[in-house]
Formats: sequence, structure tokens, C-alpha cells
Amino acid sequence: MSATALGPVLMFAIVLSPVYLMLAGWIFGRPRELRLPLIGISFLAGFTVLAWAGMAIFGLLVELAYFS
Amino acid sequence: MTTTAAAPGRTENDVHTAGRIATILRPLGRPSWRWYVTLAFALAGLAWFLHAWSFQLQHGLVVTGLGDWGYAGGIPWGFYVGSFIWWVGIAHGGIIISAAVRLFRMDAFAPIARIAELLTLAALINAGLYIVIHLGRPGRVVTSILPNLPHTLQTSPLAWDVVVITLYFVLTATYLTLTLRHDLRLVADRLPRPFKPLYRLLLVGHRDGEHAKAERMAWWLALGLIILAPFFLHGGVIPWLFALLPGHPGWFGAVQGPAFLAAALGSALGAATLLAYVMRRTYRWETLIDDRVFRGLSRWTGLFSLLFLWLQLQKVVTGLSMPPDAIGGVVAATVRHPLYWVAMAMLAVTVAHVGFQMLAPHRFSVRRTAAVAVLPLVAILLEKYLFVIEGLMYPTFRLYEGVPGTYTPSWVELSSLLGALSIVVLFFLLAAKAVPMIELEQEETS
Amino acid sequence: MTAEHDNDATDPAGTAPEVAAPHGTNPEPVSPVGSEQWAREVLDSADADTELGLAAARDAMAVAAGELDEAEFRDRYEVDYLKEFGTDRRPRLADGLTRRYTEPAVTGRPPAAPPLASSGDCGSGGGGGCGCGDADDIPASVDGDGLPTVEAGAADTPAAVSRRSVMRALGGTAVAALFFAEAFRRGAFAAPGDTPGIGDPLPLAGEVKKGAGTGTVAPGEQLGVQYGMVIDLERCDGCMECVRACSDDHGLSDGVLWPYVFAYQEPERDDTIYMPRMCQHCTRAPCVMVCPTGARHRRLADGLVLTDYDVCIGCRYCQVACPYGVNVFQFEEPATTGASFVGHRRDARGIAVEGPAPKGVMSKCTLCPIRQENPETAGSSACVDVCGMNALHIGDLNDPESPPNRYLAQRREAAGGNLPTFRLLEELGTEPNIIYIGQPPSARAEIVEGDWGYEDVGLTDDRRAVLEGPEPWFRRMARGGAA
Repeated sequence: MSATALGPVLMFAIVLSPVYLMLAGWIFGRPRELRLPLIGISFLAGFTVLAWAGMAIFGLLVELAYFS
Repeated sequence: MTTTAAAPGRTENDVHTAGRIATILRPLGRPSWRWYVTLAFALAGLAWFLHAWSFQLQHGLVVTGLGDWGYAGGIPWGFYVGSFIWWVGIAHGGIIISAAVRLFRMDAFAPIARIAELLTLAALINAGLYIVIHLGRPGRVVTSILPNLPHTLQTSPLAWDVVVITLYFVLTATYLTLTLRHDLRLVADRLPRPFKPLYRLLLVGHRDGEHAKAERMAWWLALGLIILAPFFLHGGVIPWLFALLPGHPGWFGAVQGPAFLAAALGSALGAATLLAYVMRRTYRWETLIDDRVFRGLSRWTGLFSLLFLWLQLQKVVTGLSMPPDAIGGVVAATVRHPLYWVAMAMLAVTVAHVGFQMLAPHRFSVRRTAAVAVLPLVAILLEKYLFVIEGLMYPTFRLYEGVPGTYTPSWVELSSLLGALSIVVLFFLLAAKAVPMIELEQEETS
Repeated sequence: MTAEHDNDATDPAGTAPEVAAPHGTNPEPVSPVGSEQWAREVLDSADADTELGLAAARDAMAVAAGELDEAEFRDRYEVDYLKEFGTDRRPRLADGLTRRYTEPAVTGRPPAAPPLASSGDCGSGGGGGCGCGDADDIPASVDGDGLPTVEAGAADTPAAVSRRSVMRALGGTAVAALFFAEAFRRGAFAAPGDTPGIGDPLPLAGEVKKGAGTGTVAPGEQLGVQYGMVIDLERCDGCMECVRACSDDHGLSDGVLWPYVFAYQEPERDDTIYMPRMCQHCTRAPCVMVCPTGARHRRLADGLVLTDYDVCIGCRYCQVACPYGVNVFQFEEPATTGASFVGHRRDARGIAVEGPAPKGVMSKCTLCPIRQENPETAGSSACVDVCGMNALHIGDLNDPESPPNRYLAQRREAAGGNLPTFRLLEELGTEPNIIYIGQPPSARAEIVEGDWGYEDVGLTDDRRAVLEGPEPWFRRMARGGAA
């Protein structure tokens, strides 16, 4: 039996479905506007970048200080 | 609590609201000496933890009590991973309470919704911290994980975990931002100056009148989070880290999802109760965070603790009756461990206390409720810790002389607990000075 | 070495000092090396059939001279060899897959198991010249032409003792094989640079070098070439040479054991069973599936499960997921057991998969992937090369003609078609690629003290004792204060 790559289906069809639901609600829900939802999406992206960029910088410092 | 006499043109309601807002904004003033003392202790705790972590980075994970399983007689995951699960569990308190208020209209919990959301952020920061400190090469966490996600997401539960925890953090931060914008705008003139850059960032693109849309968006966010967090994170991806592995019968199985979730909710509400009590006492918010909050929290904490005890009963009965060798071994070892019974007893006391308060409601005490709330918090940490180590000590392949292995957390690992707690304290010390900890305007209660 | 053959084995020529120097110009040379008389002396002193040895040696010469077909040479005496030694380990060069070549370990001490590359017979450290004659008598190979250096007279560890059957094999087969090797060296089969019949190089050049992460093979995917092993538990005697050779070859730290040898007994039975446990290089490896960075991957060319040391973050999830317990974590800066790893770390794809892991990173048995890339060393590994009992076999399990499959077929035939084999923990769905000959350990199997321990080969399996770690300042103070 070959392995089933469960990951993509699990992630993008099931686990992320509440996020799709939320985005749909943002965009199509009343009062109907696009402006604040776009700001909201920007915040989502911004926080993601903040978290990962922070970890990347931290990682760089750790590698330099302790592993080189 | 300050009171203002009704001036001409202002109604009783306005006065009440203004007074309420003033009370909520009280912490945003100059820090008291108590604040500074707490800060000093928290910084000291953090400093000690950073020293311990630096020691670990310098010398490697040899400074922990961890070891290779198999011939080497150790176990590779221990206190760090147990703590990681615990903190992710605590994080769920935020969405549970916010969802209760927004989606299910349980307004009794409204005063602590923002505090709980802030707890989620702090807890997730600690969860992320625990992932990083348990790695052998933490510096590579971004460069090795991110570019390879398209491939690793195919099969790796840890890759799924990274995505979902990031999502949870980001969604919670956005939720907080959306709900804070209105409050920040409302009292803009009374906010402390040092945090102006933060306010500017959070208020990006703010327009008067956006509040209606913001509230609806917050509703959809809460809906998304109440599905994602309990069912796909702590009742999903987190238990799947363990439950999918055939080599560890103590972990494998479908019950882990429900068991993890029940544990998480119990500990999360315990943490929320404790935090609410600390806030209430520190800022003398007895009228704002009133008894109803604690009665409600107590009941739900009790319910989830009971649920968890029931799931443990399933595990113990199936594991001790006529199990296959592999499962029997790990369950027997678990029930032999005194810490397991300490944890179960703590949860039993929690449930009993709830029962007692329901039977004798006049004997209800907020302080005692808060004290009892510590029990599920500690109990779940113990249980998660045992889950991780016992599962690793009793693998399917037990021929090795070094199996079961042994493990005792070292001073470095235990220092991480001090560090994580210090981070939560620091986070709240700062947050309490920066933003209103309670939503300034409450919707009409029914 | 067994006592009664001790002198003979180490220096058969030496027991007859009056024998003429083997570099002879005898009218009837049995071999390029020496006269028939000398050969007789050698063979007589060993506990083996002299006539068989002489006949094989003569035919080996004929093959070298192109007068006899190599396949025909193989077929001759096969039954005789099996009768005499219980095994026929004459090298099969024609199909290019059993050229067992061991790079001399670059260590501070000479290798304890001086290997004769063209046969594994002497590999178990028969000491000295493995009964193959005094070092001075045997022309050394020229470096760089691919032939092994026979380091006779090298120091031996007491534990590297050959069994009686190997002793007998030494006498006859080794001599013939030596002649064979010599013939080969003199260009019997190939012009320089031309290696017909050695075997195709592995198709690694086609694999694109990846910077971060290497996953292209899906779990459970069946590959064209799948390297694996056949391990004969009915042969293994727990001498631990495989563990030691691997540790030396890869420069592993104290306490880091990639192969592990179980010594256990089944209830109500007296005999101790030895089971070497290497990484199973599973087709459906859980470690590959769970790795969050793709550092742990399966190589496209040959299905080996390897770790990219430059990408691994040391999360130890592979160790947790592996049901066999083959993974080792580098808890501290690697210290070596006296050997510094000077070999190639990067395989043909440019990925750092070989050698000891750097600090904070995972490692495990690799089945020597860099050897598999070189046609001259393909089909060998550190452990297989030194196994004196012919218990370990490595090769492409998909190829019915590969050494492990041929061995399996041979054994099956010898057992009349009924050969017990198993794969470890097969029911867990990992699809391991190590086939064991023998019975699997039962649930009641118990570990016992083996005849040889890890200490006997200069290693330790008590890793916890090794991993003491540095003392923090406050403990030092407390100790200093208490003292």
C-alpha cells in the first residue's frame, strides 16, 4: 500500500476551511464593503511576516553566536 | 470608582458609561511601585531563563535530561514538548471566551474577553518559544522549514502544526486589533504617550463609522477561530503529532484528539480564571469583573475537567483489562506513576468544588474559585508531561535493554518554566499599560 | 583465532622458514606470487583441501591470462567450495557488483581487520596476514588503481577473532582469492580507464542538486533501485566488528552507535541469538514522512534514507517516529573515538549526508551512500566489508542478481526451499528493506549478555554515561563550598 499524501487535502480543504469561511464572511457579509476586509487581510499578512521575520533574525543571531 | 454627576445634556447612562471607561483606563496611568516590583521579578526570571538557554545553545542539548531512545536508555522529547502542548492548550482560553461572548451571546464573560485574548497571544508566544528551545539547531527554524513547506506539508504533522499555530497567532492578533481600534479611537486623548507608535500601527486606515463592519468581521473571525482552534489545532494537529505514530502505542489512536481538547479547555479556563482574578484584585475591578464571571468560569472549568477525567477512565479501563502487550505496558506504567494520580486528584477536586458551589451557591467565593483554578492548570501540565514521556518509554519495539528509558528534567529545562511564566507576566505588565484591558463599550445585556 | 591454529594462521609461511622466497622463477608457477612448492606449504599448513586450493589457483591464473572464462571459473568447484567451507565467497567480478573494497580507515591506529578486498573472508580480522602469507611476500598494491592495500601484520584487537569455519576458509579460499586479486591487478580484465563489466555507475548525476531540502520521493514510492540488506541471523555471532568498522569509518562519537547488535534469548532455549540492527531504510519510512524540513529524505538513485546535515533542525521527530530506534541525536559538539572523519561528507548531489552529525543534528546508519556512487566501491559498506561470518549483505534488493538476493537464493536452495526470513516490525507498515534470515524475536525474547560487548571493540552503548555535560557555575560553587 502506498502512502496517501494526506497533507494537502487535510490542510487546504479541511483545516483551512474556517479561514475561507471567515474571509467569505468578511467580504460578502453586511455591511457590504471591501475596504476594512482588505485592511484585515493586510493585518493577517503583516502579523505573519512580523512573526517569521522576527524568528529569522533571531535564528541568524543564534547561528552566528553559537554554531559557527 | 470615580463618579461624575450628570451634567446638563448628559444622561444617567452617559455618566455610567463615562465612569466605567474611566475605571477601565485606570491602569494606563503611571506605573505604581507594585508594578515596578513585579517588573523586576519578571525580568529576573526572564534573565535566569535566558542564561539557562544560552548555556544550552553553547553546549548543546546535553545539558538537558534528554537522551536517545533505544539502546541509549533515554527519551528524546520531554519537558519542553510537554510544556509546549500545555501552553497551546492555555491559548485556547481566549477563543473559547470570545466565542462564547460573540457567537453564543454569553455576556457574563464579556468583561474578560480581551484579557483572555491577550492570554492567547502570550501563551502562543510561549508555545512558539518552546518549539524553538527544544530544537538542536534553532537558528535554522526559518530557513529549513519555510522553503520546504510545499513538500513537508504532504505528510509531516509537525509542518501542519507550524502552519496552524502561525494561523492561530495571526488570527488572534488580528481579532485583537479589530476590536481594539474602536476603543483606541474612543479614548485617544487619554492613552499613554510612549505607546503612540503602537496605536498608529493598530489604527492604520481607521475611518469613523467602520465600527459596524469591524464588529461583523470580528464575529466571522470568532467563528473561524472557534472551529479552527479547538477542532483542528488542539483537537487536531497537536494530538496528531503523537497519535499518528505506529511505533508508540501509548500515543497512537483516535482518542487523543478528544482527550487533548478536553485537557486544553480545562487548563485554559483555569488560567483565564486565575488571570481574571489577578486583574480584578490588582485594579479593584470588582464591579466590572463581577461574580457572574467567576461562577460561569467555574462551571465550565468543572465541566471540561469532568470530560477529561471521563476520557482518562476510557484509557485506563481499556489499557488495563486485556490489552495487547504494547498498550498494557504503557498504561500500567502511567497508573503506577504517582504524578498521574496527583493530576487526577487535582481534577477531581476541581469537579467536586464546582459541585459544592452548585449545591451551596451562597457559599460561593471568588477567591476560592480562583485558588481552585490553579488545580486544572497544574494537573494538565503534569498529565501532558507524563503523556509525552511514558509514550516514549514504552514503544512497540521493546527488545532494547535501554527500554524503558529514564528521564529527569534538568535545571535548564525547569528554568524554562520560570522563563515562560515571566514572559506572561511581562506581557501583561506591558499590555495593561498600553491598551484597555476590558472592552470600553459593552453591548446591551439582555 | 582459535588456539590450535594460531601460529599457522598468522604466519603460515613463517612456520616453514626454509621455504624458498615465493618470488620465484619456477618453471611451473602456480601463481604470479610463488612456486607450487610454496603454495603447497601454505595450503598444507592451513586446515583446508590443498588440491582444491592448487587447482583453483591454477585456474585463477588461467582466467587472468584470458585462457579461461570467468563464469566458467566460478562454476567450477562451486560444490567443492560449499562442501569444504560451507560457503563460496569467491568474488564475482563479471557482474560487477561484489567488488568489496574497503578504504583503509584513516585512524591513529592501523585497521584491526586488514581486509582482502576481493573476498570478505579475511575481513573478520584474522590478524596478521590472515593466513595469506607474510606481508613481505605479497606485493602491495599501487595506490589509486583501485586495489586494496593489504596491511598485513597490523595490530589486532582480541575481540576480532575468526571462527573455525573462517579459519578453514582462510587457508584455501583466501589464497586463491589473493592470486585472483593479483591477476586482476596486473590488468587481467581492463585497460586503464576502461572498466567493462564492473557495473554501471549509479544514476546520480541526473539528480538535481538541491540547496535546502531534498524531498522528491514520495513515501511508499517504489524505486527502480532499492538498496537494502540481507542479514543472516543464523550466521551472526555477535563479534561487533560491524559496529566498530562503522564507527571508525564514519568517525562517530563515543556512545554513538549506528548499527546495534542485540544479544537475546528466547524462553526455554539456551542459544543466544545475535541480531544486528541497522537502519532499515524503509520504503515507507515514518522518519521521512514526519520530518518538518525535508532534511530526512529518500535518495532517488537508490532508495537510501539519508539526512541532510545542513538542513536538519534537530527537532528529533524522526527519532520519535522511527519504531526501530536507529536515530541518534548529536547532543553536544561531536567528539570522536580517536578517529577524525576525513572522508567525503557530500554525496554526488552535493548534499552533506555522510560522516558524524554536527552539533544539534540527527544522524543514523546511512548504508554508506558515497561508496554506492563509485562503481569500484558500489555494493559495499563498512559493516559488510568486515563481517567475518558472511552474515551481512548489501545491494539492490530489486535486482534478483544482486549479492543479497543471490545469497538469499543460495541459502534457500541449501535449506531445501524452506528458509525462514522476516522483516522487523513489518506489521507497522514501514516496508523495511532489511531482510533477516532466521526467526523474529518473539514478545518474550530477553536481552542477555553476549560473548562480546561494545567495550571489547572500543565502543560503548552507555550513551548516558558519555553525555555528562558541563557543570553549571552554581553547581561548581556549591561543590566548592561544600568541599
